[in-house]
Amino acid sequence: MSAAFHLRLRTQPALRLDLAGITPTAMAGQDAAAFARRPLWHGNEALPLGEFFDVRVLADEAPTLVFEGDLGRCDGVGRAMDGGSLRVEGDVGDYLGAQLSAGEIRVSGSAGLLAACELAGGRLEVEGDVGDHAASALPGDMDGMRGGLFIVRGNVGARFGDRMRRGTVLIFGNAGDFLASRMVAGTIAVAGETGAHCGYAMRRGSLVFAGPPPAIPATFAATGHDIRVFWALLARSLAAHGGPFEGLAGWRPQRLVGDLSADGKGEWLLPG
Amino acid sequence: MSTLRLRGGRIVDPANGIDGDLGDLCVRDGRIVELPAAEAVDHEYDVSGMVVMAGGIDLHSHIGGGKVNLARMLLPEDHRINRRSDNPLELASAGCCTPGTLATGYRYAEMGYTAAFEPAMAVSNARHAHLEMGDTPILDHGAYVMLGNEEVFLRMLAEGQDVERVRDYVGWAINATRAMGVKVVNPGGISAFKFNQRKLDVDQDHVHWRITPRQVVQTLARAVHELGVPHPLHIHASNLGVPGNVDSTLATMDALEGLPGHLTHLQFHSYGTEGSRKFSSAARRLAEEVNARPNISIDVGQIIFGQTVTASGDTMRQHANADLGSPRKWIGADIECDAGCGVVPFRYREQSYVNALQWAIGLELFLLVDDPWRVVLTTDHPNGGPFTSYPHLIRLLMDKSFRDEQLAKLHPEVAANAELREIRRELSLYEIAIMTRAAPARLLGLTDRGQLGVGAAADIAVYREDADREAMFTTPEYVFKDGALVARRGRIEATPVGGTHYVEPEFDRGIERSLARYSEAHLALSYRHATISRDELCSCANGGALLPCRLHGRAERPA
Repeated sequence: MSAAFHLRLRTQPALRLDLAGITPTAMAGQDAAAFARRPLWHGNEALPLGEFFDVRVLADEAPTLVFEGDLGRCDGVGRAMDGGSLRVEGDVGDYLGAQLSAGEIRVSGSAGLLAACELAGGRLEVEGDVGDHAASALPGDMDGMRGGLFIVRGNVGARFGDRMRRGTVLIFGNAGDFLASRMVAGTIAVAGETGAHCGYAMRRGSLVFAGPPPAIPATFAATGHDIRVFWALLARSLAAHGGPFEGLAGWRPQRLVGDLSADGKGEWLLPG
Repeated sequence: MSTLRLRGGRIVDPANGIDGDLGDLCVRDGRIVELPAAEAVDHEYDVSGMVVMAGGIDLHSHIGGGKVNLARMLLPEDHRINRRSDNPLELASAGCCTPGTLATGYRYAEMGYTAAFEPAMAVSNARHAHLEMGDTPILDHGAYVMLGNEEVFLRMLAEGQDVERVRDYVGWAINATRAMGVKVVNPGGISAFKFNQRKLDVDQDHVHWRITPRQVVQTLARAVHELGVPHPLHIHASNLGVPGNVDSTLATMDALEGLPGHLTHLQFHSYGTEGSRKFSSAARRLAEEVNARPNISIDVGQIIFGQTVTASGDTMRQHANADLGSPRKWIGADIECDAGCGVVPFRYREQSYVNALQWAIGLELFLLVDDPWRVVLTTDHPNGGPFTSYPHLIRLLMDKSFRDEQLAKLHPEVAANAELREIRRELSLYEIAIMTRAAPARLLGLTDRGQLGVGAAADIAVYREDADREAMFTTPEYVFKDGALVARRGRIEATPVGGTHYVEPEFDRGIERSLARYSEAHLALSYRHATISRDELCSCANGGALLPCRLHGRAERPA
């Protein structure tokens, strides 16, 4: 009986491998052999996890999973996770941390599509890049990310934060097209450049541009509101993450609202 | 040649008047036969202590075509939550209220059903419907072509063309789309919606064509009857879901003028306006009318609490309901101004007064109509609830104390006042067998299905006797399709291809010239592609058997 496991990917799976359900709290209390017997969907075939991973017990007493290897073909890592700690030494596939509600996930490499989709709580940190549709809604759903903290040290793809409605995101690199499209609420701070159609049909929510200022679309308008108190609070919480966000508290930001073609209550905060 | 014998079962076969007789049932090459008790068979099953019935037949279940596929696309969450099974015989397919074609076949078969009929096939989209049904394993299938809202028909009616000519058109449409019957959805109303009408009563004029739903129902019922189509006109009446719609439902029955008509999902058409909420049950009033009119048959469209999706051709009513959708998204669509389509996800809630009353109304209809041969058990899958809830529904009908227990959980006003509380009737196994097999087979004109007489197709469901009828009907011990074991204890054992039921009424081909002219002038699809040939139907149906159905008053035609 153990709480913490180390899983080393032995060989690259031939097809996509679905790791949904392999979460720290679900696996805690098993022994390594039982863990290795756990079936995984490999394409349309259920195979024991041990076919792909060497499972080793770690001394840690808190529910913990550590993955090692190039998990680029492994989808659903940390999906619907509800506690504990999960670490990946390498890249991961799609749906990383989708519907995460509590606990912490850290990935040293990059993640595929739909990372942090419908993230509801906890903390997800990716050292590399993430693909399209991150922090958005699962296909067909009405609401995107709805809580928690999501940090990306690299770049993010298109449609990041689509329909997002709560939570905080920090992007240290660049963002693709349609950043924060149809956003309903929440906060996204981006340090790098942003692509075309930023804030498309954004209804509410906050976008902080810590790096180069974006092109201002015709459907966003400057406002003369005094936001010093709000800014002091927001800047302080973002500055804690360091790097390009460290100096935010010293700004007197310019505030724009939009997208006026949607609800028009979203805000952009730009260097003053 | 392969033979099997089911030994010592309790046979419930209402079509042949058999109610629980102990006996053996023998099958040779997919047909029920009589074999001497001493004769050896290839497979022998001891079914003593079990109930043997014909395979279930669902005569109203949305299983194929454009709106079904739109519903699947609208609700990917249904497919995420209801994942694939671990049975290696099953190909990946998911979903509960919007099951994929494969999951549809698997889930029906493991519940003891061997046939299902798609009630709303648009003329312009018939190929799609047949392709999807062909992709549905195990089940036999067929579809009713949706008429009564397409421009070409309304124009003929408005111009006052001869009934014979309209009948030829209906005959052409049935043949062209390889349909099993004709359904009319909100007669004239879907078209009226496109002319900005938001309501169309039975005797109200369509603003453009100046015809009434009464005329549409009358004309189609007569055409279907005269063409010899066994299944009566399948009618989704006007004003679906509208409080007080009992009046238009009765007017629709009157419009039939004694001709046979099948009123579908009657629960949604049985509402009064009494009480402080102006929403009440008119089930008793309707049931009495159904009892008094032998030309009427119904299916109920029972609602089941929980998440589902409503997929209907009735754009007018679905547009009105779109704001009630949950999750809040919907699709409205149209092809060729042919009919309509509205897909609205819905979550029926026990604590909602309206939903609770709808639930009670459905059960009241089941229990107040005296003749089970004219009532078919449906939830209008998926509109009232997914077909997988049939075993639960069967228990509600067979078990008064279970029914009371469920009723007590509902909105307090409904729990305290519903007429359902006073109804003591509990349906017997025999009556359930009628409503789920024998009656739908008879109403469809299927002579060798829904029964276990010698010569009938060996579609058989064997249930282990259990006082909990829900458990009993959820996992039959054995299910045979055309004599092949397809499911055992709720697990799929084989996935043969099902057959296609259709009718081929005769009509005057002279109609084709004017239809071609109309098509070339107004439609996007070329008239040359309007008709599905037998060969094409065969490939649409995945190589399954073609099962042309005998017409009224005519000798059987060679297949």
